[in-house]
Amino acid sequence: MQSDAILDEALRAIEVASNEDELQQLRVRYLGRKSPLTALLRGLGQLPKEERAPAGAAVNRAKQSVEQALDERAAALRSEKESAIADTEWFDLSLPPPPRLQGHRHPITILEGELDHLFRGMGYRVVEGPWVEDEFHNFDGLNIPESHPARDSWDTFWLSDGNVLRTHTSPVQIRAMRRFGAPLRAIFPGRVFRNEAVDATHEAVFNQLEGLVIDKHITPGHLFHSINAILSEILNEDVTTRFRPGFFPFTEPSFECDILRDGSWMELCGMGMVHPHVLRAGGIDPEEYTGFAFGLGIDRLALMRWGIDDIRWMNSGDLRFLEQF
Amino acid sequence: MLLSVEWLQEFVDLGGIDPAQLGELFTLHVAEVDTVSEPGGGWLGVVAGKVLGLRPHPDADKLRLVTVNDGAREHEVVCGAPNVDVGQTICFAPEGTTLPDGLVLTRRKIRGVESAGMVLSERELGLSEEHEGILVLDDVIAAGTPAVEFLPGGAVIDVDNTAITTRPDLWGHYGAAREFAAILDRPLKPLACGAELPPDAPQVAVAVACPDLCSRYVGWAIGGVAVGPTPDWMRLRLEQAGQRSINNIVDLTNYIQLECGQPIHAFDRRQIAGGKIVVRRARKDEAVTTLDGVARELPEGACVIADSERVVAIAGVMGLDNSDVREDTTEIILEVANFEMTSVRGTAQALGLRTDSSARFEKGLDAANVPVAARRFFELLKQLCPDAHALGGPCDVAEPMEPARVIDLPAGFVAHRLGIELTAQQIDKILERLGFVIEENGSDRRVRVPSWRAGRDVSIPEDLVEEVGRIYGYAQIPAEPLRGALEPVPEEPARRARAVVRAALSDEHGYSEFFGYPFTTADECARAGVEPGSLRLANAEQPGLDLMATSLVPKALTVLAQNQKYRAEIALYMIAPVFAERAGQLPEETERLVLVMAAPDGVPALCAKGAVETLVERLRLKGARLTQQEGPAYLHPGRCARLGRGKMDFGWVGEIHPKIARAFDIEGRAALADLNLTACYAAQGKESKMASISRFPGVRYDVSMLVDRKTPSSEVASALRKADSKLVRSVALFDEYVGKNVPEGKRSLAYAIEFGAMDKTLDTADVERLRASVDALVKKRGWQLRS
Repeated sequence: MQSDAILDEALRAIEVASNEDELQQLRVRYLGRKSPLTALLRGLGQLPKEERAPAGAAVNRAKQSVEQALDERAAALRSEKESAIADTEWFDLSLPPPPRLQGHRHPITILEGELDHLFRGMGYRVVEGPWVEDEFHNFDGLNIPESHPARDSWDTFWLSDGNVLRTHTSPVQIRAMRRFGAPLRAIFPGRVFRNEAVDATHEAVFNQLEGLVIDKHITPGHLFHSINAILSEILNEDVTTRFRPGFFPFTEPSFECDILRDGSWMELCGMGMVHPHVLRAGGIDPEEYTGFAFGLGIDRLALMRWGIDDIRWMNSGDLRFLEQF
Repeated sequence: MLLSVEWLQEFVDLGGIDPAQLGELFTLHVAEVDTVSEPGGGWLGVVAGKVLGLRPHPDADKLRLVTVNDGAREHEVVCGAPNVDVGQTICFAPEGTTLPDGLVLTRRKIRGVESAGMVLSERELGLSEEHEGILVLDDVIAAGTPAVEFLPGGAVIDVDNTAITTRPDLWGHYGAAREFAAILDRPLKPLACGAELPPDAPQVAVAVACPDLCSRYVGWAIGGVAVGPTPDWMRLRLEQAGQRSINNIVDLTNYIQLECGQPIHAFDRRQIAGGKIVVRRARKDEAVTTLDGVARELPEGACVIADSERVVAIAGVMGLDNSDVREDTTEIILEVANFEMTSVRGTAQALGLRTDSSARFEKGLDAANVPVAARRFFELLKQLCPDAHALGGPCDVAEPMEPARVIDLPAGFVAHRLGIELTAQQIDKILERLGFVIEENGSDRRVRVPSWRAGRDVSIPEDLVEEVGRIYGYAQIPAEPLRGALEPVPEEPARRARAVVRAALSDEHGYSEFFGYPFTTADECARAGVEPGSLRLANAEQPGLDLMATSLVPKALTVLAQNQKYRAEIALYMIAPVFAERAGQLPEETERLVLVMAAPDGVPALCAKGAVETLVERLRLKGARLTQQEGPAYLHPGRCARLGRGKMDFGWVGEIHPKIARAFDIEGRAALADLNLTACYAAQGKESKMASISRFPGVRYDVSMLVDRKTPSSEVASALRKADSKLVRSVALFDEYVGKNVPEGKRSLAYAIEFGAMDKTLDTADVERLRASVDALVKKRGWQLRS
């Protein structure tokens, strides 16, 4: 049989092949070692010398055509099959995935991380301090001498060695001033402790973030601008605030910041211009430098943000709470 | 502190400003106002009426039918008040009126007779708790006059007490009026104190034995007193300020306190033995009965007032029931004094008796206010008791007053600190309105602080900045962005490392972070087999919860057990410091990590170990090794490994000891790791450079062997790695087997070893040589090759 006839036969067979297996059989039959085209090639030697080349070329062309036809048919069959997978390969993707533990960060960690990011972007260092403080850092250095009635207003956990569990993050102000000097921009996030009754809105162990900026000629206007910018960023809205007189021993003047929520003013955070006594305790000359400080309750922000209904969840260690964040 | 707007008006004109606005002004310029209540809001429709007629109710003995003229027409209403009478001027509420308590009056029948409105008592008007009878008005008030025009007060401003703890002057109406005068720039009227105190010889002898606790004491005998009811105007002001009326003399002492901020006390002169007042310290074991009828033991050293025989008052806190004003009192001894703040605070705390008086004294009162309050008392007493007269002059025992505090205020200081333009004249004016006295010193100022602000409140130039700023108004200070050098902000290494730990555990291993108290109990430590520390809370609220944690393990075990109520699979961690007492310095705080894991379908200890291995890698603890060995009591002795580097301990990981699990009610097998993060952070190595990757393929060789049961697979793997230091690319365990064909005391381990070179494809001879060296090594270590 001549190569053209073999080719015709092969192409017809390929045309009607209906699956991969049949195509594989056809490949063996027409291109394999025992195929007629291979036999023709083997028989070329018996042809007259001048016929060998054209006959060989014809066989090779036929082989290439079969090859191509097989590939094309295979592609056609594949695409035919794939056009139906919507039905043939459907499965229920609403099934639960194979079990895998999902980890979560504590909501305070999440919020503190965002605040860390926000403040570092504005050039604030993030500084930590010890949970146990001495009276100097927690009180005296912050202009709260022993006889000061304000000491009573912090319900302090006193320790058997005469130190205290810090009642605020403010002691880190003094540590940071001594460590870095002026000018300084820093925040001090961390755990604080109040020896008081615990209920849905009051915790004895909670988290604060204190901010401190010291430079030449820092004024209340700088503080107001910073607070507005920070709150807008944290709450992700253009906030309306007002600043009114407050009282803190470690700032003078002191302010309270209220934020407008649903038509009424809500007290949000306290702040003020760093008291010269505190600057001196931090080794900074109050004649040369001024500064502002502010404090944010991180738990309070978390409660607002996620609508947490009871602050006691924070220290509960309960996975049903923790896995929601 | 409740401020009656009507009372304030006696000292400053507040006309044209509605009460809510007054409250807002106070909040924005002085101190936070909690609420402004306006009972007048409930008086809409209430008018003055005249009682024209009175007749009995046909069906009720205690009720009467009252005919009232409201200026327009007559109504008949049912009334139960015993004091209603013909000709009276009363408050009448026609039907449709909404009373202050929210009740809406409708026409209704009372015991069969229709009532067209109501004659009101003080309680119904929201003025006081008085409801024995109706409120009878002055007859000059014409029928039909709206109640808001003749009823006293109306609005009450409730100032947050915690916002004025440093402002003793604001604990009286006069001080608050001074603030309004300054804010509004309206004149402050003087307090009417009458004539100078008479210079006659006092008829009471005052001796102050403890001048450190009492810097001034005015004792004054006054006769012609008639104890009786208090006039309505005063009673209603007191009611508005939250003070219940008792009798005219007691009410007047309260009135002075609420007006001047100066507590005063009146003794019945008959009860003061020897006409002598002695201010002294309480002796040991002195017992008294206070005015409230409670027997109390005085704290030794507390300041007390005594006569020649006995204690008659606890200074600044409360009088005693042996000497108070009674109904038949005709002569009193008035006490107006200045007691030392910390002493009063200490006494009140020790007695658990905090009174309106002690609350004021503990803020540090102005001694200069003492004679003012005494004169004001006498002036008003003459109005209440026309026969009142001084029995001699007041006996005024005073320590020398501190000279007025003077603050030097450099020119431009206030404006510079506030960051706004302010003229010297503007600043002077604000300070003067608040009672500061300005003395010009070139362009600088010498500012004399008024005595009522000279406590802790105002002492440095920055305090004056606050005074000017708040009155000027913080809203007028424009916000201004910070400017400064742009410098990189280095991250604290511990914070960076902690974030790495959290990412490894929460993101890679599925652990959730929890927070907890840093306290523990002796019982919790004992159950966990953890040594409690010596550092404890000196004033713990919850008994038992008083030890500072030396380990996070007890807390973690408790939390694990609690979560098992809701979850079977648990993976939790906490990062927190633990505390070790150190003599003469702050306790040592070591940051630690505890993680707990329970997984009913897995091997928790292996999972926990896997997490620890990730931490070693992520924290780059180069050279840190996990070595299986017995560890702390809370870990299973056969399933426990130490993480360390040489002699340095990083911590432990393993299965929780069954005994400890039982003590905490932990179900099933659970694991725990406890690491010293402070040590880990300090041991962090540098980042590695990338390792070259060979372009040549590797050859796999599987080797299987029998080893002793307790030979760690990691030991075998690291031995296999040494078969050729260059050409062994990796060693991985792929099978562990104990059972059939494995002798007792042995186990079978199978490893896939990959050989490969950086510079060529290994040929058959290379591979044969490598296989032979692996086999030789296995034999040398006494492990049995399996074919």
